Amino acid sequence: MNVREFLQNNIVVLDGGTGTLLQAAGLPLGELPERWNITHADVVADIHRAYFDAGSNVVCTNTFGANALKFDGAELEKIVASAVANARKGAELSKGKQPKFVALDIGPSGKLLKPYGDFAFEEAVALFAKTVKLGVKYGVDLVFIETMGDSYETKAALLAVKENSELPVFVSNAYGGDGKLMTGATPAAMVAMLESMGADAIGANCSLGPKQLAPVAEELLAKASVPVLIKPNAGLPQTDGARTYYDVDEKEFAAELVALVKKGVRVIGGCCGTTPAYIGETAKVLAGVSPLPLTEKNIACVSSYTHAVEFDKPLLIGERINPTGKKRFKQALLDGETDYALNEALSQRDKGAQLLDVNVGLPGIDERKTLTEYIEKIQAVVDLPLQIDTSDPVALESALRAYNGKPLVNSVNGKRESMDAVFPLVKKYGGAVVALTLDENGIPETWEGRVAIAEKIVNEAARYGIKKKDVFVDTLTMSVATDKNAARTTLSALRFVSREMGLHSVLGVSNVSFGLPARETVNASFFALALENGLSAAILNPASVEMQKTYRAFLALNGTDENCGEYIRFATEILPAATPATVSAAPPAPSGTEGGSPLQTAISEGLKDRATALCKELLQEVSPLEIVNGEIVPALDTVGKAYEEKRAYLPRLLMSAEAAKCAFEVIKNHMLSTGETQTKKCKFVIATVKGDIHDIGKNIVRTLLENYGFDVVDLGRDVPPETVLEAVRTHGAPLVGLSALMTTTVPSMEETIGLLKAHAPACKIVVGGAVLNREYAEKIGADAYAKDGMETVRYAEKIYADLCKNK
Amino acid sequence: MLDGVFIENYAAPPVDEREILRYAGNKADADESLKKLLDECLRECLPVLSYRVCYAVGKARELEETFGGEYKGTLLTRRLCGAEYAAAFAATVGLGIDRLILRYTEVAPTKALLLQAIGAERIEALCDAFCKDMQTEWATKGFKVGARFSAGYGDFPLTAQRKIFALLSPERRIGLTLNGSLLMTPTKSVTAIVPIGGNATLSGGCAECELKECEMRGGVRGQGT
Repeated sequence: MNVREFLQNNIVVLDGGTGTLLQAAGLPLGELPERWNITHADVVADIHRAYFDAGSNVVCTNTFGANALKFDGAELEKIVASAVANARKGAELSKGKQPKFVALDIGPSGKLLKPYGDFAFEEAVALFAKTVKLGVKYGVDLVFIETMGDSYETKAALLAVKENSELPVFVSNAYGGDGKLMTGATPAAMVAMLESMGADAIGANCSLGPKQLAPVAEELLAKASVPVLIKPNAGLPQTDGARTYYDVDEKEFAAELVALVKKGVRVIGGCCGTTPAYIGETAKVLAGVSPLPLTEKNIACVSSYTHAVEFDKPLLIGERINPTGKKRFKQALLDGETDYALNEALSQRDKGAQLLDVNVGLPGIDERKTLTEYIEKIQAVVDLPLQIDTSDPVALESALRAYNGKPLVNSVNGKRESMDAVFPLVKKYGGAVVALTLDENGIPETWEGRVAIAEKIVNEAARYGIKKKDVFVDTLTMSVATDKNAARTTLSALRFVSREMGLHSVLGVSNVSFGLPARETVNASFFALALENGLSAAILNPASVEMQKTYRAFLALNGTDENCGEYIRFATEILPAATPATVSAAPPAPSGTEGGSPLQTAISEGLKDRATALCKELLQEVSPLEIVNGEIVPALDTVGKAYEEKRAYLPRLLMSAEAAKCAFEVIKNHMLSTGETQTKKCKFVIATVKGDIHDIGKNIVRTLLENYGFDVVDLGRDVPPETVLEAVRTHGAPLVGLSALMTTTVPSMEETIGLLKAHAPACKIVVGGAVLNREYAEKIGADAYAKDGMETVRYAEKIYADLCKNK
Repeated sequence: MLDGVFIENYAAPPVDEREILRYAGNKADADESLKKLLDECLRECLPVLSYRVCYAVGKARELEETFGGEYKGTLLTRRLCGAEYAAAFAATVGLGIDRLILRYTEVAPTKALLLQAIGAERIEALCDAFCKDMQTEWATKGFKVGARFSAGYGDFPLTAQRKIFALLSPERRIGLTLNGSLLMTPTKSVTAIVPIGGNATLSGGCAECELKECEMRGGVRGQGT
């Protein structure tokens, strides 16, 4: 019998703490316990033997930290081989009669993944893959991924197991006292992602005692259809001065665990501080307790890296991150300017979107690369689940790998080619998927035709093991201006799939009014009808007041909004603020800055909304170029000078830079609409050097340079020398700015300068950062040192002026 | 005696807004718009912070020995030579603030700057709270507690971070990780050594530091606490 089968009808008893026992056997603090597999094989085997004697069905190999970061290839293999042999020996030596399994134990890498840490997701997958392959080679029965505090690293480990073995896999996370992972995920979010990726059991271990872990266990039980696993500590460590002990004893521990088993927990064991005595007592009390049956929870949901979103009431999916019909976003995509999308992401979230659609399909861009980059960047900025919107399977796979959570995939359709491409990816990476009701014959004109395609797609999904609850049908909105029955057809199909077939649904709403005047009126009514016909989620612009009115009113009318509380809040707080959308340019600015026009004052005071409004007003009479040269730049100069003379400080400098940026944004939009082109000064490549992740200074410099009209290529932090050179070459940049904060990273700055001087000698290099000074900058070969952002701007202006002269 | 590592959760220490502004490079009082922005940042970030410390205590000599020979004669030796006991600790205010900083870095740089400053003030306040607890606890046994010092202070190299991490395993205990460049994430974190007992020396404050051009020199914490 394998462990998967055993798990179906039995309670599975895991082992207890290993580190605790190794320390008791003499392992000094600070020494790597995995080495003891080789040096103290008998001690390790005897610990496993003791757990099997106590009644464990599964013991975990002593390989918590056995990864290629800590051990080289040869030693790693030896460690895993010995660890598995020790566990097998423990099973042989044990008198226990129960079925016995050996699990390859995989703990966290000890490194934090990007974007917070410096460890790339694919590096993590590769790291875990090495250990998994060794586990497979030496014949473990299952894999136990444990104590993971980061959902992204958990995904990397699970993906490594799935890509390199057919083994059953249990996944267990370390939750804090707040019931969340260190990186913020709730148990529901973890269940959404892990179940969808195919984990055999999902659970929690370490950090807390059984009592404190109980709420986590209950949330897991409420959400998971797969078995739930709990492996707590023996309470919390205490000291009486002479020795350290944990505050929960065997009896209490066993009683708490049995209580959890009676609530439905299937897999139990102990973590830090627990010993064979704890496991023995637990196994004893458990004898005669039969497991609760596993139940299919049938929860339709998606998740981000922090939370799960369930489709138990209609939801809004923000549509704004999509270049279709948006000149400004198209331009931003071509220029590699991600701010635009990040701003849209934040503002849609603030407007109440619960999911965001992300589409970057545009001729001439590398969609795989761009989509992945956007998914990563947007996830770093907002914590909403994303809808990955692409028709390119290669881009889809890359984005699915990078996604941290369970995404909504937009989309699959009834064409054989589409289903063959999309379903394997959804199965492998997890996710829910939008199913468009069209196929090789186009979009059916009848609602019955669309329902038939929905059926076909759901059946095909089932062949891959993708559940019905994870297929969201889109019955396709068409314009009523060209076909008077268009809306009725969409709605009838929607009604059937949601009411008769019990499927969830998604619709893009605004197409319905294409070609009509006052489109919002039509859209809002259509949206109301769709909601009444069972729509689960609408893809729309959450900033549309008409749509928001319909949505909030529907929830109140539908009985989804208790005491109409949400509606009242919307009507009294949000609606009044949203209706007169114009920020007045009228009120006089608070005085305090010397002279200047209203726009100049707004910029130097750092008033963003006011700067935007004033700039719009001014554009009606004054040309964009005059505004830039006559208003924005002088205002920036005023603040810059005040900063240099220490009359203004850094926060003010940045606030006015932000206000100037708002004014520039107005000008950019205006120029795009009139077809004028704006000229930028020259390219400026900027980076924090390899090994350094401090980018506060670099970001400030970038903001200032952009305002002064430089075309900044920001390579980010921890940038290898070759990447800087490549960027200089591709962009033909005459200027490079390098930043380093730590003494340890100055050599990598020197190396970068050396490489640039050798291969791009015309390029001028300016350096800055806490560890540098003028002398030192000269010594490492930089062309200039700048003590702050303003000095960098001054230097760049000088070089640019020289370039212009020499032309 | 270095047999156990303990975990301590703290309540939020009181917020010192002047100190935050000082870290943000604002040497005057905040004007109205800056004050408003600071309030907004505090409202947003204080709820996501957690205050966690893990630590181990032992004989000063034993602790010094766990670092090995390469650190002999550095600030580590000088500070520990008169002490009887010593503690090593790691503290963090958690990843929540890093998430907010990342959120605003591109789209709202001033907020990002203020959040950085808040994080700096918060982690220092947490370390102060922990050290104060140590003082109170050891005072009952008649021991004085000296000022904390970290890897990277004076001639005590940053590479000692690896030893501190091996000793405390803060990855597992408080979710604190060390990267290849010896930097910690969450970024608002501190590891330090605290001498206890004997003639545990107080720090020389800013006077002890070699960075003579430092902008922060002589600041609130530079007075030689």
